[in-house]
Amino acid sequence: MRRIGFFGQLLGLLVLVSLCAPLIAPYDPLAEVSPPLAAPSGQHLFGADLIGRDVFSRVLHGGARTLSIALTAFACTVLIGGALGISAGFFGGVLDAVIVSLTDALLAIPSLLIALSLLTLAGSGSLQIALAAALSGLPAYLRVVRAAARSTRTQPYIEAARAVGVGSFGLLWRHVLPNTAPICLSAGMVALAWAILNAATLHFLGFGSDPSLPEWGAMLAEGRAVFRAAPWVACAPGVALTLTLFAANGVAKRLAR
Amino acid sequence: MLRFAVRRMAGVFVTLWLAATLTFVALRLAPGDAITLQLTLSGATDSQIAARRAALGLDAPLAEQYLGMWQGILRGDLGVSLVNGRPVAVIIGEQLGATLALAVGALCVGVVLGVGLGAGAALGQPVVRQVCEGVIVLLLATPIYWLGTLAIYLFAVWLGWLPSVSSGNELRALLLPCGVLGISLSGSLGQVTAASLREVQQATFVQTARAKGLPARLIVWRHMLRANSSVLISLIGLQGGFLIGGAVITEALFTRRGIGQLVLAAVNGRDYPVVQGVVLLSAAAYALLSVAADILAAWNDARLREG
Amino acid sequence: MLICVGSVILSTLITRQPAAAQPAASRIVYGLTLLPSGFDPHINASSELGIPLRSVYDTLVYRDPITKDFVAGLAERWEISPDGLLYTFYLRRDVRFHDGEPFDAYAVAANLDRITNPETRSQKAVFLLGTFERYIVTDAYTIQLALKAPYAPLLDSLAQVYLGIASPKALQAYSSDLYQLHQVGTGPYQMVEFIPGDYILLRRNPEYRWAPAFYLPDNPSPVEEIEFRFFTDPATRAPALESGAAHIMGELAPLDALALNRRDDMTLLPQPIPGMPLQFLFNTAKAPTDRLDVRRAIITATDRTAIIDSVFQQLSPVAYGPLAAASPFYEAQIKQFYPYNREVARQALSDLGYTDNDGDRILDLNGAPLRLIVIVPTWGNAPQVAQRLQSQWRDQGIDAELRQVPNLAGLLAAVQSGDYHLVAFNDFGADPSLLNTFYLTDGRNNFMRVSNANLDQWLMQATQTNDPAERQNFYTGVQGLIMDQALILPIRDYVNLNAYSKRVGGLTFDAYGWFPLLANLTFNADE
Repeated sequence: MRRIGFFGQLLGLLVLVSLCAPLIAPYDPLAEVSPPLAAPSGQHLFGADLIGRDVFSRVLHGGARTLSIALTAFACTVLIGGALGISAGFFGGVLDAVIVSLTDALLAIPSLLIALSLLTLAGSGSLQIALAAALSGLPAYLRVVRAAARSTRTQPYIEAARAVGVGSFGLLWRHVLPNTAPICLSAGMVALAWAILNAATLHFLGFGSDPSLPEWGAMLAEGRAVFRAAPWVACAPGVALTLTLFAANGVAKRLAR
Repeated sequence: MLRFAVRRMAGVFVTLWLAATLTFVALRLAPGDAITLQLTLSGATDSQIAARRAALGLDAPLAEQYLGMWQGILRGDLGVSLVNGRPVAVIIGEQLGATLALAVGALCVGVVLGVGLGAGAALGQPVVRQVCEGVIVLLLATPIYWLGTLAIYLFAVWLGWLPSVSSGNELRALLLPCGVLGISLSGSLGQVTAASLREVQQATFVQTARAKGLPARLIVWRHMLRANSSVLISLIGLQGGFLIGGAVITEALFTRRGIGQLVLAAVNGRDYPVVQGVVLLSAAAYALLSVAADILAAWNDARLREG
Repeated sequence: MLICVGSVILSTLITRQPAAAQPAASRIVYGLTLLPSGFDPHINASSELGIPLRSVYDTLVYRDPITKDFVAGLAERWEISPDGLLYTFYLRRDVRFHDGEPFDAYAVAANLDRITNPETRSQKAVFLLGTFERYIVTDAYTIQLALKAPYAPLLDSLAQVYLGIASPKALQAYSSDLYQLHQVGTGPYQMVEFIPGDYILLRRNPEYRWAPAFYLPDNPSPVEEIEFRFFTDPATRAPALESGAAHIMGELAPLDALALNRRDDMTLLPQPIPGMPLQFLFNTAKAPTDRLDVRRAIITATDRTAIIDSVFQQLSPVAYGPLAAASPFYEAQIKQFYPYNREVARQALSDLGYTDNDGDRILDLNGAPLRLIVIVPTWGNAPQVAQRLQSQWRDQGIDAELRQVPNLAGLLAAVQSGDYHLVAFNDFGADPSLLNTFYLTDGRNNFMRVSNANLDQWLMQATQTNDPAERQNFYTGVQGLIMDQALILPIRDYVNLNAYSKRVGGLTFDAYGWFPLLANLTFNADE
């Protein structure tokens, strides 16, 4: 336990709570169980939303959906973007040119437009939102990683290793990857946060799928409409989101070391 | 150097071509078209709608429309809006100034704040570091529309210091929107700055400098930020796309005119020529920015190797 | 490529406007809500454009805001031939356009020419003219409109801003894409400046002497200048009023409207809009909503009052049929249909064979759960209403899957797929002929996929007869039939929630509900 640190434990706890939401949540997240916009009380810890649903139960149930968006985005970005970005930056040449011109084209289109066209074409389910949110951040991530990998090329230790006759993949694995990992992970953190917020922005612009399904980003957008009468509707998911990012950030930093 | 420049220019054209083509395909695959949307509630018959689409060339084969688009672009003609019949270049032109002012202002706020927070989070005293890291994560977790709403209530409604309606490009009108967009930008900039500073901290040349007894502050500014700057420059070059996305919302919040509002309405109304025009413009801007960033980074790398 | 970029940059420089003139003493900001892409009433179809432009143009006839009867406008009087094919309009002789040009029958003719010209690509106005065939200018102040077939909604069309009469000189001076920036009419306000996406500035027309009867004869303190700005994000509307950035604002969120109403310096004005209420249209071609008794049970299972109480904070009336209570030809007897009753609904469903066999608290029939797919647009509070429906029905064993669509294109695509049971929609207009595209068998917007010979016949006949009593008969029948067949689940009559600050008074709206009578606004200098 000590090895993953405080933030790892926090992240683990958040994931566990989200997975067990159906068991812990006191109410059905879709049913009206209280007068609309009721203030927090013993019965409803985080109050009720405009429909009269229990916000606490919705935050718990929303965790799984939000974390899966985050995870999809993180995986997509770090695996695809990381692999392509490092190879492009390290090997250079034709591979670099192809990858760079493709990412350039994607970067050249406003990222919101990419997300919107993806949703228009593929329909607007939860997975599609996750993918749209992730993909619109992918090219930027790729560029950052590529730049980092490129700058390692000229580092003395790489040149030294090369002189000793270490092969390309050996270099990549033993020297470039460890040296770019911090950037990969912390930019991945940005990508993760960006994906959640991007999904929330898509909800805000009306491109969400089912408005009744709880998800933190969507709840933030929803809570804004009633924030003067019932600030608690947005507070709970906001705190949950911030906590998650704190934990993920801490873990990423620890992994990078 | 010349070969580099030529290759880079070729890259720019490839970028523009790819971006325009991707947009063309995405737009035509999307369901619905501008004319049907305009007429569906007006009582027009199917044949009336078909006739009007034909008059605008929207029923031509896709290949023909695609070629037509490029012929227009090469002539310098971006076409006319399918909704109001005005030339796309004019429509974009009249919104461009407002968006540029917003984007440049936001970028300045974002870079200053982001680099500051990043440096604090990587190099500051333990307390400073904790605070900066916390602020960065908080910013990463706050959607821009929340930031904007809070800013409007705080500065416009309660304090009454700044207008909630941002018209024109005067400083007073720009403060809130640039601040909000810039602050929401600074979270990601700060995060990446901090990470790459931490990485550079371990690098040999910094260790050497430290061993030579250079004062810490000098090491940071002379060596670390400079070494870091290629990453930072390319990151800043990438914010164009984000800025347009952020502008859609910032403009709506502060009732500012600009490209963001224009493109959102055009996407919803399937106004192909307008979307295509905005994409070409943003692609051109991006390509030029990234060429500049690459040249800067190459120059910087060279200096780094020498010094 | 560079040419493109260059032309964009160049046109920025060219279109840069000179700084706006010094604001007049009594200038207010009026908040609009949508950002239409076009603002030419003859070309574009948005309701939003009428909010400023209703006062820039006069129309041949007007509808009285209260009685909704037709009253004289630019035409002093009119005659309709007994066969309903020829309308003769006798025009006022004392009217001048804002540019000083005189108004006469030739001006009306020029406007009709422009609207019907295919090159204009009119999105609404030309269709409002219905069966219009040609005009005959009999003398300088008399014009006749000849129709191919009787078309009862014609007067209603002519009363709308989309058929406002523009100065022929201005129409000639500007191409059809540029005219929207330089509009010239005969109304109580004239357009001073229009910066697309930013604002529209109107100034009072001091020469205005040909007002319809419902304008105040002498307004003691009219507003000199009105600036219209676009508040597309609903959450920014209330703070704009509170911070003094705007003085009149429409389409407020219900909770914000109540908060503003509690302030001493704000007045709330809920304005009912005639037309089709917010309703969910049943798809009668897909099981289980193809069964009449299922549709009836679903309406009976819906507590509309609870929806009005929470989502609309009691600021909208419950809707009972296909027409809002503010619409002409509304039939009040429609209120008797399907009062909310959980027991009756439950009984009806179990009579149909629906029981919960698998213990998941959702009813099922032959192994298929009672699950309704609902298409939910983002506008008109439909998402909140749909979620409330979902939570109500859930309690009664009816499962609902909500599919949100971001825009009209998405909605039409979703409807076209046929994979839905209900779709939320509303539409605005005073003449009930707006029902035609929805309920006629071959109507473009027949989202219900209904085909009913009586409905077809009555709707067509009501569109062809000019006798109000006869039309009332047909529309009473239509409303009753639609509800008897349970084709729709009506929710609420559309109410535009306006609020205005103490700086202005006398806010009233025309017969169509959306468009303010700006000439009746008063300005309070000391506030």
